[in-house]
Amino acid sequence: MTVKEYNQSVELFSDRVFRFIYKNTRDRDDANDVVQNAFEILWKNHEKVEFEKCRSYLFTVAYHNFIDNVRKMKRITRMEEHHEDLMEAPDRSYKGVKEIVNQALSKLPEIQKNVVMLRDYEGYDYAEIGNITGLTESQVKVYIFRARQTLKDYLVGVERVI
Amino acid sequence: MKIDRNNYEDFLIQKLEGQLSNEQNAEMDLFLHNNSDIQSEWEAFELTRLIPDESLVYEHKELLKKKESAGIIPFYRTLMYATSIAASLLLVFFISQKYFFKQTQKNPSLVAVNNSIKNNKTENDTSEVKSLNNNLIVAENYSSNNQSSNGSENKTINNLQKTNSSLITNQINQVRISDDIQPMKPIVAGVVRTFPRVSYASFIWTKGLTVPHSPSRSVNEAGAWLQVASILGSEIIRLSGRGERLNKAPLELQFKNKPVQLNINNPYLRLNKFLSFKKKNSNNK
Repeated sequence: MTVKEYNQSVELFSDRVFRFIYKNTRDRDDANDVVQNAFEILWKNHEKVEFEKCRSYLFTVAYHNFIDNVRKMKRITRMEEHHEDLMEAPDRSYKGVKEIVNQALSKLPEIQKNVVMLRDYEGYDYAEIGNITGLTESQVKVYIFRARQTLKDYLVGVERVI
Repeated sequence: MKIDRNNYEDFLIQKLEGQLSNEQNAEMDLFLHNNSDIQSEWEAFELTRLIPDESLVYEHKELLKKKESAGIIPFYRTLMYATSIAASLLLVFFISQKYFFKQTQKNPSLVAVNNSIKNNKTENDTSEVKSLNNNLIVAENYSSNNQSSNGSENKTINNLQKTNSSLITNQINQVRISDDIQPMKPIVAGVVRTFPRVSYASFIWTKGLTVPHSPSRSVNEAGAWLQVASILGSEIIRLSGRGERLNKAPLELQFKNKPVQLNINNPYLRLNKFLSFKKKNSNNK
């Protein structure tokens, strides 16, 4: 990959990687860090990585970086856990379908959320998602099916409440 | 598999994922038409397709970008590396000039004369040296100029010629040393390579024949110099044992109480054979 192609990849994929990570972390700074780190690694290896494969490369690096961060964060006791008053009060105002879907998405297990986001946001097929996440194709399929099922159940349930 | 009320969810997800064949799609549409209550479920499934939020953007793209003229950098790097290497080589050259050539010219030296140089005159302190299967010592005399100016034939130190396996049949090597060696004068410079542990070492001694302190190579070097000393008939002042560190017990070689100067270039110095040779030599005496 040339320097020009690298810069092109920044233009083309930085937003996408950012969105993918932000949807997971819900923290802009964390997402920024992961994106920066992913592009740093891409730059270090830009002579080895082909431009056609750099999107997958970026998502793979970002995904693993994010997972590492999640594992680290699990070890840290969050302040909010001990100060419930600091936590956001549940929003009972009217939400559009998009918000409800986002809410449903946030309730999915991490892995299901990631595979379904890679599927819908990026249009990856099961094999490509498997390469990024380190899962087999059939595992990806199962997780996507379960995620869709859970999301649908949530949406149907909300509709009933509304 | 026929679509029914027990398995329709799986088919709905497959439809959403675009995995149904045309036939299955048609069957699914008919099933939904006939089961209007499931139609709302299908609509809910359709809502599970996530749509990216385009308003979320990474705001620091410019910081990630690199200058496109960066392609020139490797050239400069190469130039920098080349310059560094050249500078290092020059430095090594000047150091070697200073410590090696000058010193060796100033100092008397010891000569091992193998019988390939039969014209050399020898008078004193000869010893027989037997070469064993390529385990040969090659020493070079760097002070022939100095010696010729002294004009003393019996002080002549000859080049120690590179020997080869044909020398196995040659029984006598002679070792001589000049009498005007100044004790404790610098310098010994040389290279020893030992077998079986292959290690190169370049030496510059400033006082007698003290093996430098490199602990990692010291045992082999000590062994090598021990053999050198034995072959040259020189007296070993102190020698570290196997496994000991030389910086604790430096090896000193002296010949007639005078430091020995020599250059060793011995590709395969098999210590055991030299040790046995030493014993044999002393028995003969």
